[in-house]
Amino acid sequence: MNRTVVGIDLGTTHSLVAYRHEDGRVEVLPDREGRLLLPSVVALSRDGVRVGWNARERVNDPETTVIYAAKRLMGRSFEETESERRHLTYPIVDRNGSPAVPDPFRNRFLTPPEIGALVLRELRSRAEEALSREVTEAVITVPAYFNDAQRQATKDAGSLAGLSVLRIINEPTAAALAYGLGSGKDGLFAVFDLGGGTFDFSLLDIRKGIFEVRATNGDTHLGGEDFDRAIVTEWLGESPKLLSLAERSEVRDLLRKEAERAKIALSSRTEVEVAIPAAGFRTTLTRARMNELVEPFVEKALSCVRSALADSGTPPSGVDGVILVGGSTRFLRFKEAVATFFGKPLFDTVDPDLVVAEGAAVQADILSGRRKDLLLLDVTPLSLGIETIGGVTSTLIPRNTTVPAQAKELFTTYVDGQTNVDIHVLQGEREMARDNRSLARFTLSGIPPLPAGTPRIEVTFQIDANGILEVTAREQTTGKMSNVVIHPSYGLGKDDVRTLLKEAFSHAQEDFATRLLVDARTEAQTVINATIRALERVGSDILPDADREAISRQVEALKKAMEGTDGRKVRDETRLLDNLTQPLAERLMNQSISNALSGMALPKEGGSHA
Amino acid sequence: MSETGIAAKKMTSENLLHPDSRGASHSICWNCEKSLGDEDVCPSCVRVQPFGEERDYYSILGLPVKLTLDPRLLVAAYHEKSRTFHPDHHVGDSEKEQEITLANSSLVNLAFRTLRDPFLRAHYFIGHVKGEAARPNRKATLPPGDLMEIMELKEELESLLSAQGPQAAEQRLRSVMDPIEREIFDSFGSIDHQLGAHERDEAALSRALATLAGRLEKRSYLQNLLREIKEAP
Repeated sequence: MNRTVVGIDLGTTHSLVAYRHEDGRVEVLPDREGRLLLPSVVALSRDGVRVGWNARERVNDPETTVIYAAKRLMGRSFEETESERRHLTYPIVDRNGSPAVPDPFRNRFLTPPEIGALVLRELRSRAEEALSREVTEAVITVPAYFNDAQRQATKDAGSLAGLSVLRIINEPTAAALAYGLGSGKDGLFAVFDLGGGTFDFSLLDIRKGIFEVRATNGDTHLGGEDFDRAIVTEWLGESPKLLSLAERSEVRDLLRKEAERAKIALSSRTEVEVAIPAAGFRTTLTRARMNELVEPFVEKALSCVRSALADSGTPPSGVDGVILVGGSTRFLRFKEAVATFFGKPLFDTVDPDLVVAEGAAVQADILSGRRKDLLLLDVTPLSLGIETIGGVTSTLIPRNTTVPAQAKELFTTYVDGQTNVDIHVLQGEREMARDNRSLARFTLSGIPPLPAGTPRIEVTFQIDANGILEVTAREQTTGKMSNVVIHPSYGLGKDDVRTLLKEAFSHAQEDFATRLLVDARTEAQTVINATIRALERVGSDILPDADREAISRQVEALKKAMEGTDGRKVRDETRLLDNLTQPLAERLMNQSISNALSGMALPKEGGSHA
Repeated sequence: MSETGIAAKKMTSENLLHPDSRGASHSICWNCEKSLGDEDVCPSCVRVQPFGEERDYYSILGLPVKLTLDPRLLVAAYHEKSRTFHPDHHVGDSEKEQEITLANSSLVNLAFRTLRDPFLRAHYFIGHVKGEAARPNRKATLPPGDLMEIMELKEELESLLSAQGPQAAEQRLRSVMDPIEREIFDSFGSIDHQLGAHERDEAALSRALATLAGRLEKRSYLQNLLREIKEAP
């Protein structure tokens, strides 16, 4: 059988797709220009939706919504993403409790799985071109700490991109697979994964081709971008002029890029000259100074490592090797710190940007049925059970049970003559059912009327290798059965989905109007906020009083329309406001450019720091 | 309370085997109908076979029925069976084979989980040699003397917990629990020996098993106390 299963690393900053050829060669598949990485960036603008490199170019375009790091939002509720949203510059709104990014140009909202799907679709077509065949199946990697909902959202992103996701695997496991661990090399391995914005540490037990994650720890806000920021802060401290110029985002971006360049240069040199002539700034950064700047981050990472080791009761010397993953592990100071801490050999021969995708391709190969020497054993992350009388959780499958798993238990009725029982399927560790996550409910009926406690109702939980749970209830004397299939993380059975779909159809008309109104209101609020901010910033030199008054009047008109329920009216008033503010926006833009130009023309005082 | 509520029945179900497993015909391959012998995979057509009803956790993993198990052998056996039955190694096989691998690998996982833990293993072992399918959850009753002792210990632990904190309480509990656990482990060897002897002293064996069962029961009560201490705010 010839199946083409690809491995995908859907990363926070970059994504990649890899394939293991019949001859055993693992290849990261390039795009037409030969680039292996795809920035996990989506740009929404009036003229279209861009993904990857083209999207990243738009980062300073005020007319474009540039979505990046959407992985941080994946599978989480709006509330849970609060701390993330503070770091993200694009608008994120609450849609039924989940985060979504408004696409004002197409009057829709993009959910994190939909954003992920845009990136995955790009990778999929890249793979199809490179391999000259259709690609419909994939293995996707996620951080080891991802919970069920985050894993399911990643799967959903795959389906939306037309990919059947055969398995979600942990990034550290993938990295170990890429190094060929498992075939011959046994032991306890540490995976040190330092990316652009996240740090993950895992301990992996590998015995005769079988992989088990023993402990995981990390910091979701620690990575190469922090180093760049620390360098920029250093420079801003050197030059007050640079500091005042840096209020503009394009200057900040320029500085960040310079910092990144300097950082990379310092891995092969001991010092580097940095010059930003436009700002009259010139300095020298030495490797020693940069290491000092980065030291707090090294310490932060090592403290995560220490607690993971403590959790699993392993001393650093108990680790047989350390696998380095993520572009930021190229940074010498980190390599050195890791090597000193463990005193063990480092695995760093595979490009740390590619290693996870390559490992995903190895698992893809296993699941395509071509390889039987390796096996990843997965566990259920949370306990599964049902609610019994008094709202108590009765656990059938405890967490960390290896899948596939099956459990059967007998239950009975609570009142005399009871002919129906409700089966409420739960996920979680809490004693009381209400504190756990509800996955599904169904009823078993037709129980013969008998005294309470006499009927024997057998409840079976079966989880397959993909984590899909099937719950069956069977009354033993009559053999009457009832069951439900649940994708545990999603919380919806097939029947629930069907009901939801049915409801969605019957309310379609109403929903459309509601959605139009909601979308229009959101867009209106965005425009109003931007307008008010602009009005506060500009003086009469740029905006004549008459124009200011006209704009204010239109803001009021729009606010009034928003109180009503006519979505079309809200949209029309928004357009009017847009038109009125258009000349202002142009003038502001010109002013910003001329400021920037005059900044460049400034005499070079303070530019001779070095 | 609810007219449709469901209540826990204080015993667990016994038949965890694949619905297709038929004790009588298990020695014939479901696919090619050739003789199987003891094999899990048909020697003629290389199809996986469902575990027969008579297969216990030990025989599923191909291990001798003993209280003492070498953890390395146990893990090796588990890995070997996982390789044979894990659904990931049967992607693209027929629906029937997928069903068998799902059921078999679920049982392999359950067998490993049970036999890996010495206390679960001992509990399972007792039921097995007595010829009943005892499961870890089954409730037995503690002799009144032991029960009194545990109640008193519980009170002592509660006052220790509030006066000196969880560490002191845990230490005190450990001082009771550790000797019991040692006694349990110490009896493993002699029971294995008695069971393997040519002329079995059935009465002595049955006494030894009853003592072991009692200690396991007591330990599980103490284990619950330990959990309470650990979860105490």
